Parts: sequence; structure tokens; C-alpha cells
Amino acid sequence: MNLISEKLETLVEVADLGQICSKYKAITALFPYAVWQERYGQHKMLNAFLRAVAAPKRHGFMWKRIRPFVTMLLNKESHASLKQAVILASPHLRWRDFQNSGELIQSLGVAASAIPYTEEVCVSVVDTLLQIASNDFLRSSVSSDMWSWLNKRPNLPPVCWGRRLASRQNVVRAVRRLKDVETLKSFLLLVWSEWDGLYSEGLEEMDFSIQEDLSEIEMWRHREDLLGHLDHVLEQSDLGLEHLGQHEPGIDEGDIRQRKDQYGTLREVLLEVDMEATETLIREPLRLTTIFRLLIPTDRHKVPLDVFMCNSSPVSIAACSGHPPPINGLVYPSIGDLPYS
Amino acid sequence: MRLKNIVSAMYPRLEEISTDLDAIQLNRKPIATFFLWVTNIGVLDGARWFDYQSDITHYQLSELRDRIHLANPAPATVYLDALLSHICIDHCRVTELPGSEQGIKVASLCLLRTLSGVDPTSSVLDDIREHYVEVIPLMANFDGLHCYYAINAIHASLVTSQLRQFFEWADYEPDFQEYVFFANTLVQVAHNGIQHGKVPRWLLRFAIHSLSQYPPPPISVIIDCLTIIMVDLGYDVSHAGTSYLLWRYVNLWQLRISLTVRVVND
Repeated sequence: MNLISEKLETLVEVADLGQICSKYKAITALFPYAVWQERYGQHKMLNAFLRAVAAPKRHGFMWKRIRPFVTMLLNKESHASLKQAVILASPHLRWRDFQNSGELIQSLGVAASAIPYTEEVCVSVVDTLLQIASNDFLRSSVSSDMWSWLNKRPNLPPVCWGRRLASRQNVVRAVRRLKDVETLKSFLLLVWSEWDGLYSEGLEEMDFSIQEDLSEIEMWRHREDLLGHLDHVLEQSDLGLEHLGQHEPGIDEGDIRQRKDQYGTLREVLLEVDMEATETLIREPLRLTTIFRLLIPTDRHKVPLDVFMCNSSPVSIAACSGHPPPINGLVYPSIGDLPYS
Repeated sequence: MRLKNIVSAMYPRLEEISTDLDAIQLNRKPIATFFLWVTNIGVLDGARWFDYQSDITHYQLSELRDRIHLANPAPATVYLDALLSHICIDHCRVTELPGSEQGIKVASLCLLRTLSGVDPTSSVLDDIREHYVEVIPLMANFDGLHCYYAINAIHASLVTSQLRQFFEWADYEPDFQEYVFFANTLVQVAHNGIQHGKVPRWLLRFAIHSLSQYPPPPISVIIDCLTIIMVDLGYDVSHAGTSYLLWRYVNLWQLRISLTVRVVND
């Protein structure tokens, strides 16, 4: 019998969000108790706490006074269960209050890698990472190791403040500066969601990014993944207000229309860039061959056959198939003779 | 601070209680915890706790309880006068007179304790407040006082300005008995606060500070901090009845196990 966790659960169950919001300080003050309980195998309290802080869907729900405790838990010597508790609660911290906390953020990254991986942990880390990255004073503290968590691409929940804030221009720029296409793609896949619109300046930056970072012929597979994701987002957006409003009561038809316009714009840009890349491909058959050879066999079918056959030189075909094509009886060089092999 | 001093100050006409407590204290340290529970939380709960802690018989317990119930605490003005007699005020700077460390500590703790028991709607509190603000300036600086936290708590209770609600607990490391006494007093302050609409923020800061400590504070402090939080969350401590007592008891039991496990693991 624990009346505290029961009280929290009751608050959540009756969806008394107004009361939960007004009591954020008291609820936050329960976190240390929940953590100590967790440490000794009693999970009910932490679970109730996490449900309570997540229920109001308010950015930075937890009281800033918890910071010294969080700092203490992220200490190297702390038990893994304590670190995990902090990681799970971290999306609900008010990161804007954590200025000059480079060391703390790095400790968070180290702790995230030190605890057992679960989808729940991954969601929390990514959500937190994106929130930290959206803060101009904290962004520089995010290490490349932390950025690499994006590549795990967890299924972020409908209400995710990290995702919502991550479409800010400075965040998109920061990801671009990493010069890692895989991370950039993961970032875009995580941020583009039917549940959130995009900041207009961030949208512009994404537009530039597609044109500059994803325009190379070799990027076709990334473009294909992004296009597929955008199609999914637009499809989900078509489900309308009833579907999208279940997690965002304030949303209206205008918001949905705006989101669809935004994602539709990005889709057009991606298609345009892809088309230009294809044209380049046609002009540079030798590069096509190189790409084709780099593909694993199961992916080769994805290259449009007409593009490949109609626009490639016999050398390319020979190189890719491994068999000299019997065209006009000409003898073509073997793969080993090609300059790019 | 010795429990005897507190008891003597609170119950000046029943000095024999302090003698009894002193005797019992030789056997068991958590007597202060027990004492506070008996006086504030209820004899039943206190009895359970004490039963768990020591070999003191229920007979001794009930005898002690009866004596305490006979006590007639001194009025808050006595403690306020005692407190003011130990301090010196120069503009906003408040300093303690030489040799007043113990006296100021007892007086401030007892004043806070007594204030917490005063009906917030009664005129008594207004009288005390009036007397207090005549002497202590709104922006008084209590830095360096031995009773820094207790007197800040008093100040926050008597001065309504929000400016006085932001003192920090970061360096608060009292001895066992003072901690137990103080935390238990704050439960009553929280209870009074909620009758006015909400628990003062500085109380929640106290709770978060205490619960965040490692190693954890005394068990009764943990319980009292949780009670402060629950009061703010709307749990009626005064009318909760058996379920509340049971809740406290069960949690106490759980915590004891937890702490024992921790000690063994460490």
C-alpha cells in the first residue's frame, strides 16, 4: 500500500491535468523518493511519477530545484538504476534552466551509453537530446556520441517536445554541420511527423539541406527513404482533425493544412533534387556504374532499368554485369581494367 | 541541540518530562523522533514506531504520553521575546549576541513550533506578527546565525512578502535531533499553509533538498517531507484517519528495509 503512488495514479487517471500542472513543484519533489524506491526494486513509484509528469504534455514540467539531485545521480559512481531513472525523467526537465551545464550534459550522454538499451531509454535520450540541441546555450555541449543516438531512430511519441523544438533553424544547421549524411537523414526522419509542424526558418534550412547535402547522385537511397517517410506523414495528416487532435486538443484545420503544405513543399524539393540527380546521372554514365557496383545485389533492382540500360555506355553494362556484352562483336575491357575499379 | 533543551523550553512547567526523556535517551537515540510523533502525529503511530525501535514498554509509553498531554506549551510571545533577547539588529543585519548560540537555537525552533500550532485565522497570529515586524525589518539578513534556517522559516511565516520566500537549503545540515524536530514542525506549517490555499514554496524546497540527500536523512524526516508533499497534493493529513497512519507505518517499514539493504550493499 503506498498512498503516494496511488494519489499520483488517480490524478492521471481522472485526467485532472489542471491540478497536475498547478502541483508541478510537489510532484517534482517526489522524484528523489521515487528514485530511491527504484534503486531497491520498487518500480511502482517511479512509474507513477513518470506518468504524472508526462500527462500534462507541458514542456519542462519538472521544477528546476531538482537540478542538484539530477547532477548527483549522474555521478560516475551512481548505480545504473539511478542513472536510468534520470534518463527516463530527463525529457521532462526544464533544460532552459540548465545553462552552463556542459559537464552535466556530457555526463548524461555517458550515462545513456552505460545503462542497458531499451526502446524507452532511447526515446528519452533522443527527446532530451533534441531539446538540449534546441537551446542556443546548451547545443555546443552535445557530443558527437550523443548525436549518434539519432541513428537509432526510435518511435517518438505523438507528444514529443524534442521533436517539436528540433525543427528550429539552428538545430537543423547544427546537424548539417556534423557532415554526416546518415545522421542528417535520421534527424529528418525523426523530426518530420504528422504530429508536429515545422518552424518556418527551420523549413527553409531543411530545403537548403536537401538541395546541398542530399543532391548527390549517391544519395538516391537517402532521398528514397525520406520521400517514403514524407508520403507516410502526408497520408497520416489526411486522417484529419479527429486523429491528430487526440494528442493536441488545440489543433485546428488551419494547422493541419499548414503542416501538409510544409511537408508537401519538402516532398517537392526532394523530387526536384532527385530529378536533377537523375539527369546528372544520365550525363555521367561512368558514375552510375560506380554506384551500381557499390550497391548490394538486393538493391540493384531499385535503379530504374530504363535509366540504366538506355543511358549507360556498354562499358558500364559490362562492368556491372561482369559479362562483356556481345554488342557488335566489340571487345570491352574487363572490370579490373576500369579506372574506378 | 539536546532534546532536553527543547522539551524544557516547550514545557517549562513539566521538567520531569525532560528527565524521563533523558533517561530513555540513554537507551535509544530515536527518542526525539518518537517524542515528536507522539505529540504531533498521534500516539498510535508513535507507539508503533517506538515499538519497532526499542524495548520500551507500552506502559512507559502511555505514561509518557499522559505527561505530555498534561503539558501546556508556553505562548509564542515567550519564545519571540526569548529570540529577540538573543539577537542584535543593525539596519537589516541581524547578528547573535555572544554566547547566545544555544539560546537562540532553542528559542527559534520553539517559536516556529508554536507558530505552526497557532490557528492561522485567530487574532493571536496577528498579534505576534505585529510585534515581530516592529522589530525585525522586512529585508532582514540572517546570514551567519546558528538558527539561520529556523529564523528564515519564522520570517517567511510571519512576513507575507514573496521576497522572503527564497532562502536556500543547500547548506542545511543539522544534527539528527534538530532535523527531526524541524521537519516535523514544517509538516504543521504545511498544513496551516494549505488552509490558506497552498503550501509555501520554501517548504517544498526543504522537502526536495532533504529527500535528495545521500545518505538519506533520518526516516522520520523522509516521512515528514513526503507528508508535506502530500499535503500540497491535496491529501488531508488531519482527517485521514487510520489509512494515513497505516500509510505512514507501511512506508516506514518499507524504508527500513530499503535502507537496510542499502547499508548491506554499501
